[in-house]
Amino acid sequence: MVGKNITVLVFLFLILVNCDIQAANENIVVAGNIQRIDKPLLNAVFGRRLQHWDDGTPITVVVFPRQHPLHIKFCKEVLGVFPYQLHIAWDRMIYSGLGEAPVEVEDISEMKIILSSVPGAIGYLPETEVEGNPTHIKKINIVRGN
Amino acid sequence: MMLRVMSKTLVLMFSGIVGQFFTLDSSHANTFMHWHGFLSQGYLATNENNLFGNTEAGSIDFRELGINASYRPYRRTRLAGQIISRTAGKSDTGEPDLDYLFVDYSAYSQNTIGLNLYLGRVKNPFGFHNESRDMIFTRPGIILPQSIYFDRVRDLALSSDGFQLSSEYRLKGSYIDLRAGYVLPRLDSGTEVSLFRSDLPGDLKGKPLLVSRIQYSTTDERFKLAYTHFDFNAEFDFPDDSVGEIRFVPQIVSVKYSVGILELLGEYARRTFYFKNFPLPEKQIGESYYLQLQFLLSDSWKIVGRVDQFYADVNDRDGSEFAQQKGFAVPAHSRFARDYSLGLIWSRGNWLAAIEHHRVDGTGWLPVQDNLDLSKTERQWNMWGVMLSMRF
Repeated sequence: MVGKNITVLVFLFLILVNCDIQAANENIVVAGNIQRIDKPLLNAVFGRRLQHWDDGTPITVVVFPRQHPLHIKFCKEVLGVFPYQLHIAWDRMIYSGLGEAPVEVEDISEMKIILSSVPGAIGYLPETEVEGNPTHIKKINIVRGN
Repeated sequence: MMLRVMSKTLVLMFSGIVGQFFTLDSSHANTFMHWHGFLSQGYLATNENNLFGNTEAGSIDFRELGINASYRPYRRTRLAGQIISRTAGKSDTGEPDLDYLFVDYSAYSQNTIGLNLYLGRVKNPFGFHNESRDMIFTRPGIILPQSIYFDRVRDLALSSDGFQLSSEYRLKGSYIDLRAGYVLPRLDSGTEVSLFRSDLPGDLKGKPLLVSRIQYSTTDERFKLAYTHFDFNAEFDFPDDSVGEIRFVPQIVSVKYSVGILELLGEYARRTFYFKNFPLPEKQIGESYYLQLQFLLSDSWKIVGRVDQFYADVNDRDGSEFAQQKGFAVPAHSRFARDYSLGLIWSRGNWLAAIEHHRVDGTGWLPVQDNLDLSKTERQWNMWGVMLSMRF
């Protein structure tokens, strides 16, 4: 009985891990409940230098763990920052009191739940996870400016 | 209302997984308390002289513990505080210290401009490393470049009580960050030792000071340029009721540039002292600089090499005049220090381990508290250090 449970757990775990590894090969997009964001503002948001949106709603930045392939891909390809540089910037914020840590989630489904239920939340997802999503998570278009 | 309830439920549901926040007050569904902390334990050994303990025999009297919280009672208002316990030989006893505790009010936040006001005890915007200097994950090794980030006098540099303003101007591909404050300095007997080279009988009274730093950074964080300017004024009441005046103006230029796995970082500091009614020269200029090269070997490993130079007085770089004035009771080598260091750092997740070696010529920044008889210090000395750290 115990053995069977473990097999099921391992199987589920492998599916989850596999999903995320597959996801790492996909196009990754910024996700949340706004339409678009300027690139400098996006970096300020993920660098935790910006604490709330225009209307005063606190920004909740949602990320995968630091070693997660999607996180590394997002840092390099979307933000254009080496992950370690972003992490040092976060640590400097957290341990000087000048900013808050991002919220870390373990997998895509957890990311979706927080993005769809916490006002002001922003994160990132593989593009296929946002297309045709029944919840109100939107792909946020990045405005690169002139 | 519905959203608030939902988010609170979810936050509670996920707080077990995320493990970093929980709600304090049921009326604020969207306000989380973030908790973080760190524990670091070092081992230092020197062949001559003592640094943070009796290191000539090898010492574990180097420990840094910290715990902090950040809480948002209102949408634009946040409270943040941190307590640190730092043990470093005789210069730091491990007594818990309120590192910072302030209200952060987000006054303005638009696409291109952000403005925050801080009230309370806030970390000083001093160079690149001061604001999170006691947390090894954010600094380049076991000890910071001592020529600029003196560990024997910390209180003046660490944090101060008052009002600070922080503004950010976001440009295309870069941003400018300006911090300015009007604050009261934190002073201790170590400050006196640093200003006068001895703990004189009398009282040091700090006046409010201006602190400022302007920083330019590219959004990819690869290039940073900063200028720090402090203007510290104090009075000293001698036991005979005479009053001395001190003005201390440290200025720092900081530059960081990284390409791929390579990061080059340098800071240059000039410390100008003005003394009135003191048995000291009216003006003295100290100078410090370091150049550091860092190689990222992989996601977890990096090598850091550094040359760090300190001069107490630019008009007496070898300290010979000073030694002569003191009748050679204080050695000339206590007025300068050149430190070559090489370190290896491993970090993964919430763990970090570091090992480093220093070859030092001079004792300019050596803690006086650990070397009470300066005449017994050696000019050439080496240090080996190991540190283990975890954060949460």
